[in-house]
Amino acid sequence: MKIVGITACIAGIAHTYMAAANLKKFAKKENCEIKIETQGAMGIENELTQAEIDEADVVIFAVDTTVQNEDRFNEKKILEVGTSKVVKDGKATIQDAIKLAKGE
Amino acid sequence: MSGFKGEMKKLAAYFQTGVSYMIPLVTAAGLLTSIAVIFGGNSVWNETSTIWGNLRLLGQTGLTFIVPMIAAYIAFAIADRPGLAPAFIVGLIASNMGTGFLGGMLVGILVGYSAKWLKKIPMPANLQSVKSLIIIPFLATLIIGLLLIYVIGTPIQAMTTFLTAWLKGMSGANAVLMAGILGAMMAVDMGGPINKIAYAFGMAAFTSGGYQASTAMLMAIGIPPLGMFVATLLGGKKLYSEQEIESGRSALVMGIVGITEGTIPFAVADPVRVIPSIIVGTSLGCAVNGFFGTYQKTALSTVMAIPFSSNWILYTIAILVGVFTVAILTNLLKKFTKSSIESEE
Repeated sequence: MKIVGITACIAGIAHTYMAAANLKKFAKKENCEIKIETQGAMGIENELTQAEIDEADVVIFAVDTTVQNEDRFNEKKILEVGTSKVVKDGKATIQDAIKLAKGE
Repeated sequence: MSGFKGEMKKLAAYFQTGVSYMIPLVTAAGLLTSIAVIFGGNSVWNETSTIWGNLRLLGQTGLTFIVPMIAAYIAFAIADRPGLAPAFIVGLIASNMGTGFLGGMLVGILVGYSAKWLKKIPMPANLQSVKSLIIIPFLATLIIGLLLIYVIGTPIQAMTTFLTAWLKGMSGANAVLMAGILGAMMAVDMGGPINKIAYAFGMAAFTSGGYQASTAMLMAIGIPPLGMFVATLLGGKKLYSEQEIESGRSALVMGIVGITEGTIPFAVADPVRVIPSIIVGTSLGCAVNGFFGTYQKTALSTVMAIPFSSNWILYTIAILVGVFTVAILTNLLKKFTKSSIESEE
């Protein structure tokens, strides 16, 4: 399964990157391919290409703010959560995303 | 997301986007102004013949962008690019009218939603570029600008004046309570959404001269990370891993420069003991400062604001009360419930 995601918190210095790290960690455990774009205080890093977005089975928005360039994700299945939930329990987020992708 | 609750949640995300773009402005401008006053003295306010006068000029100019910037990026969050320019223009008007932070937020919402609505108006395809480049920015600025100037500006101005008077007049038990609540809110999620609500409230108070509230909020920023640094010092290797002691050192730096997020590694590792401790300690420190009635008029956080506080001894005592409460409480909780930590692992 392929997952892409965006993380963004308010100050853009801690939660953004911790949420990204946690998503990667638990996606690996579930044998999912994952790429996370961070929209933090440094701006957009590790930017997702349109091809990567099109190929993905599901999108995770772990954000407390609004997502920049959200129109890239039209028509995709999107799981929206807050960053602190992902930092606390990344496993549940990945599992929810897999469920959403499978349409359960 | 649907319904009223979904709409409220979205609105919160819009506000938070605005605040997230504004934070670097406040820190850069606040630092410059403060450095100028530290080294140049009070004479910097009226001159630009020295380097300190010019630093003050840079900082002070930056601070005047608080209101336009919050307006612009709230509108940007709602309507994307078309919302940005109109909200900058109308936001600056709001700032000049003295409507403060409240006015900025309202302008952001109004411009954002009107631009979003204008985007939806159907137009022939060959007019699309004209629409996004000319029609939306022009109409949104015109409509919301005039609405602000002729209709809503005066009531918001009155409200801001009222709020300022209320905040300034606050004293005794009320001031202590407000400081305590702001402190607790700043600590509870260490830089998350609740922290930023308190931050926005504190900045709103700051822009309209309610320094008691802004002091409490700003003081709270550094207490959790500093507290955890002291906790690792006091607790040593008995209570903390090598890595946590290392995190404690970076928490010291983050505490001094004012990044509450420095506490997160500790809170993630042991939320049940760390989070209640930082809430209690931060809240207590701010409440003690509220009790003293000490305030400072810069946008600087905890430690960096010490030289500018109205009474630096009392102000420092309040910080220390907060920091040591955090540290001691965390360590006591860790000590007396240590067996359960090990069983968790």
